[in-house]
Amino acid sequence: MANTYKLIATATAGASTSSLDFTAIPGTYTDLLLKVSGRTTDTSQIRDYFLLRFNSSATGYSRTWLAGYDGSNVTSGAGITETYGFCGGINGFLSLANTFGNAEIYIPSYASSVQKMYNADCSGGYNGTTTYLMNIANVIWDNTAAITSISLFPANGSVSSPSGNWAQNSTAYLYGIKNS
Amino acid sequence: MPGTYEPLATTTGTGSSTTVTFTTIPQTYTDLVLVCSDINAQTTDIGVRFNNDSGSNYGRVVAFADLSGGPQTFRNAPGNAVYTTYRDLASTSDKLVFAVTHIMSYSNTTTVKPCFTRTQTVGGVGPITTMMIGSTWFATPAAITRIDIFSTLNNFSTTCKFTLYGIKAA
Repeated sequence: MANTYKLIATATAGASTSSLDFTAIPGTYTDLLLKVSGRTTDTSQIRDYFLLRFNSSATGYSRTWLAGYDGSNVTSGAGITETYGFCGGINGFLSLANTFGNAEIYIPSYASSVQKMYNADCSGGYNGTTTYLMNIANVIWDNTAAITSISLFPANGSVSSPSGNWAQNSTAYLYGIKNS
Repeated sequence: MPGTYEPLATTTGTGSSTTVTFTTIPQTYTDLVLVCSDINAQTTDIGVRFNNDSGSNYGRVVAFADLSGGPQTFRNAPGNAVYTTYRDLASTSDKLVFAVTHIMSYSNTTTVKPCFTRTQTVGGVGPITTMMIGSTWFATPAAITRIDIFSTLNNFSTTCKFTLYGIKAA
């Protein structure tokens, strides 16, 4: 059987976890896939979002995103040369208790010498009735280094200065996709 | 454990052709996933055809946003001969750099074939477009045995990478 779609590692938030981290990522796959079930502890947010960094780098992230929320609302935005990679919506502290947002992030050619990029697809229901969101986002990291570590941060409403913690039992799974 | 998410074939652009083709696709999986990455050639319009069908049998709905404008959607009703899963790019300086397409029930001979694609295209500054596309091949239902990815302008360079995976439900 081909050695693809293999679970590389799992990161689970404890009582006080400011980032979900994957380190020493092997360079033996073609692409990476992250699946996230998350919630933040930001007490001012019903819907928060989350960010990432590759290789602890604080430079060169550019993004475009599109979101639909709370019925027929649609919005979009963009940013260039930011300090974190944008992912998208996830549940905040004020959302319905014990609800977690879902996200999937596909990272092609993570170990090659090309500029790195990813798709992020996120969705969540926040109060069970009228507050919910889905978004797609694309990000380029202007860096050609192989990705060897990934850290996920709860945004606490800020794309440049994330803070706070992941809610306990927030979980991220990192899979390796191999094309041979 | 059943064999699923199996790489069926991988290929790259040749630098001298506008088309990449997967043939003799096995019919033993439930769905297919097509991953196109490192597409750094200026390719203008990019399309996918099934079973080499160049007829007016494709339709799609697209939602996207980019650096210069707000969210947008558009639709091509069945009858479009060119585009299946990917967007016609805005200009020759745009590049489709990355796409993941899910092709459901591809071996079914009784229903038309739906697809779902997530793509990213870039210009010179950053990720100019994030996009999701729902599309359908409306031809007389047939099992998909061949997939062509084609550019209407430039050749696919040798860096362009294409992989087809098989997804099995059991």
